[in-house]
Amino acid sequence: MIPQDNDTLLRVSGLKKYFPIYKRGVFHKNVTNYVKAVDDVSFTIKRGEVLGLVGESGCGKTTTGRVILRAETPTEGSIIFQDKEKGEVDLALLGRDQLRGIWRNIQLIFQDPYSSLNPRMTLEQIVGEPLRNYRLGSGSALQDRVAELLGLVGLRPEYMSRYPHAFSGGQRQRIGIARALALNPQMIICDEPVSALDVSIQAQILNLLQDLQAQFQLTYLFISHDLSVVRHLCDRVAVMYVGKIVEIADTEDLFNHIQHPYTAALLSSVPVPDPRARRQRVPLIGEVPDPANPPSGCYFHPRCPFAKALCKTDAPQLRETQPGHWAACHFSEELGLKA
Amino acid sequence: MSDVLLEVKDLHVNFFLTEGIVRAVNGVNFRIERGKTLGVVGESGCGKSVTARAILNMVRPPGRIVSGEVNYYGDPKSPIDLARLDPGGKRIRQIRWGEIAMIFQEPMTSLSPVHTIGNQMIETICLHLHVSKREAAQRAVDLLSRVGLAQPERLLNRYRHELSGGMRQRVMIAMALSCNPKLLIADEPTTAVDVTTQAQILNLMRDLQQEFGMAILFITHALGVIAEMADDVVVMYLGEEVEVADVDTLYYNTGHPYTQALLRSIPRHDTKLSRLEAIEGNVPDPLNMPEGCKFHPRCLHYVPERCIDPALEKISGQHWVRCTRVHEIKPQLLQTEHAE
Repeated sequence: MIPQDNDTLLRVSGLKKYFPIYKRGVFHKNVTNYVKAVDDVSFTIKRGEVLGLVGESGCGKTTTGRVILRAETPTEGSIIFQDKEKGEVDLALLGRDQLRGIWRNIQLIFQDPYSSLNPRMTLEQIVGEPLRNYRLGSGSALQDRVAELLGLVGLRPEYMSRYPHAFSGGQRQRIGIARALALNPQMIICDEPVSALDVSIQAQILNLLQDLQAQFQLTYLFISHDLSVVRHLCDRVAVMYVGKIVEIADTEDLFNHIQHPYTAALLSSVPVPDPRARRQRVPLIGEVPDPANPPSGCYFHPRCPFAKALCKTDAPQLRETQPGHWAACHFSEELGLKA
Repeated sequence: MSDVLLEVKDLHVNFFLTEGIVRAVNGVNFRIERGKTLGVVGESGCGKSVTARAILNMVRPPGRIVSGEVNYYGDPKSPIDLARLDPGGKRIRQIRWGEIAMIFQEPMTSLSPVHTIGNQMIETICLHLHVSKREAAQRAVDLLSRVGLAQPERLLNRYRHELSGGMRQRVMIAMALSCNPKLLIADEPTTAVDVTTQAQILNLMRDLQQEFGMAILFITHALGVIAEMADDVVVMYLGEEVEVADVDTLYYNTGHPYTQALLRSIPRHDTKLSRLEAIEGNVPDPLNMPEGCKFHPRCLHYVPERCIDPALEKISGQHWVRCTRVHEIKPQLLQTEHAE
């Protein structure tokens, strides 16, 4: 949708991930339906950009991240990545052994700092593991690199011989970040990196992610359900609903000139830490539809306060409603939406 | 004093572990007025959930209420000290759920996996309201539709795993309301649900409060949710109240350095900040609490010889702050630089 240029690091087009639902018999199993977790998603990320992917649980944001990382095989679509060693590659077509090379340049930070670190490994082993896997160091050179990485994320190198249980949630998240940085990746997929942390720790980790991004010109795909965090950190934001992107734009543009009713509803649902801004909100009615049986037409129409007859029958395409601002709504221009 | 429903006085709850004693709640005082909402806000380990459990005398070993009173004015003329009741006795069991109901963060764990929603609700209603099963079933249906659940009759035959997270939390609220409680304790009721569901549930709780006139003790770590819901707020840090105020004063005339720092550190969706002001350090280990003021290792206003054992001090009418330097530190006025 956006013409490709040299700045584009990742170009995802027509990405689909369908999970089959089986009906099991004694001797056979038949596919009866599909959960369309990611359904025709396209976007680009520029070098050094932070793209936010927001949506409610079950909207397919995490699956999108996992497919890009090829932890899942896509059903359809292409994921063109500009690898610094191999040049342009389509991650969707790579096999297991080719992916190994790519994973050096795309890393992941997990949501849960408790389950994503092996309790039986010391910090040195955890942070050094990627380096050992790619044979990038051993002995004292490896130790030096681990010490450097720990320093980068604000942990003392002396902690190297300790185990994860000795650390708090925020410190563990720092360990996870150090591990992700170990191979000097081009891109990091951050999957809800602060949502499991305490309020006073979230800001530390967000600041750290921001500093590292500036220092190493990193590119982030930042997956989150928290619009406040996304507004703070991201250059551009894509809003997902039931496997599709419904709106994508520059952050300030998205928050100030909403083009999709779902984004408006999402924004007005966020509580504001200001008792004088209290208002009787009009909450969305109903629940997120089942991605195995989505509604007809626009997936959002059963909950949309502006739905018209057209919305029940025709699925809107993602289109450029304002320069650089894309939305999948038939009536974006007429609604005059505000959060 | 007739408007006070519950009064917590100098409550201490300790956990006796092999590694030492954790003072989870260390001398907490507050009052909940009839029909009002008191918000308790704090990070993990600050003792907010333990306080809630202590009110219902449900602290589990190795934890124990070591001292303090929880005076419940269900009948204004004859208050009961809940902390002094036998935790397994008949009286407290009548009050739990019958007069003081509680909903938890994860409704999955508070609903039985092997009983239908209907069975659980009907049993509760029969037990506390002494009505027939048929009347109880009717009441269950009414409540389920009142909390916005479609087809409540069918829901009675469902199990918890058949419901979504938002539906489970609504069922929990319906169950909590089933016996007309005078106080609803909500412990992080929206932390596990999405923002749109959260907005629905917060609206629902407000509407039901107006309709049924119950008081709510709302426990959360989210300052945004507190701003929306509470009339008065208690800010807790490491088992102590550090600031108590009405909600407007707390946000617009913030007194304690911890509350000030918390408010400055949260990102906001309605404003663009270039950088967050993070609070340095970590929440200390409860077995190894700092000496003197417990916030001092992370405090911007720490002065070594001054910050020793601060007491909760009255600043104005209903505004209390636990900080020895409170008169020197400028109160923080909420920044409302809306980027438009």
